[in-house]
Amino acid sequence: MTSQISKADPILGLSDRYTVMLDLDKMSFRSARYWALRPCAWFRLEGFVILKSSKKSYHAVFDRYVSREENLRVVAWVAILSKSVPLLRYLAMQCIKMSSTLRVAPKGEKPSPRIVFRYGSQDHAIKDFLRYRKLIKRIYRREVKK
Amino acid sequence: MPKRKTKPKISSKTRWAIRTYVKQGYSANKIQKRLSKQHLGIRRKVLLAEIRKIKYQKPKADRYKYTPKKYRRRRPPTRKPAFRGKTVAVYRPATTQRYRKIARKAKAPLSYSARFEFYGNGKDLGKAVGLALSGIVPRFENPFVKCSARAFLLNPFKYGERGEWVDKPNIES
Repeated sequence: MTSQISKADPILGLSDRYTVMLDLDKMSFRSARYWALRPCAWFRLEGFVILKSSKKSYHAVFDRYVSREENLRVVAWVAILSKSVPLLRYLAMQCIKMSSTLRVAPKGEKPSPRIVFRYGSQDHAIKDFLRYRKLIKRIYRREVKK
Repeated sequence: MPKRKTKPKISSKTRWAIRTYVKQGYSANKIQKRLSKQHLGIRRKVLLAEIRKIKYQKPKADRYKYTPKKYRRRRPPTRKPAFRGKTVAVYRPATTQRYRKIARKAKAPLSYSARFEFYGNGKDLGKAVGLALSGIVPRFENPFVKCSARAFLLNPFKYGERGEWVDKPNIES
């Protein structure tokens, strides 16, 4: 068994405990939107934004701030109902690290996630998320591209 | 340099007049009218404070509550902790010389999953990320590090060591 090592820049992401974030991998846009709409209505999350991270990979960020427990509850609910294996893995990682992380900066050939859909209120957690995302992108431009 | 005496808000003449009117049992409104007639007009706020002093009353506890709305200064808006619980995550497989030695002996993959999570203000975050990118990675004994950006900047080798961020290993068997 041999393993090759090649240098690479680290990935920059945003980690948060109180914002509900879903990593909807291996899904079409329609199903990503459906699985963002359902918890939004069920848990009254007020609104969401969908970001496209790569082909058939989406991120969903919800507007209502929740407790740590409720955050896990929402992600687990979606993971079980959608039977999405990547989302279950994401949930497991969320339980280990006690916070959910979404990528912000580019990763290899993948560009940074961009907003493709908005729904409902955008004034609370989403507003802060987008502000922090801007900050991380600025850091990335200054430090990584240097 | 001797301290300059602050100018008294009320002249002794006015103070004497107020004291007399208070003793006669006049209301604050009446006193103010009388004073202005005698060209000794003063601000109502100052007058009320003086009357309370003469009557040996305590100053009002909640000044904000008793100030008319139009004269109230706007309180500074309470700062919302917008970035409460938010951190910048710097993650990727990493490797160090020390780890590679151990991994070769154990025939384990030559890299391990590593992650920094920084919190703090924007300036510190930028510098901390830059420092992490310059080749400081978390130790393999403690690969998930969460710390403040400032603490990391002050003592980076407390949280990590010299190493490289690498791609996911391509394992060929």
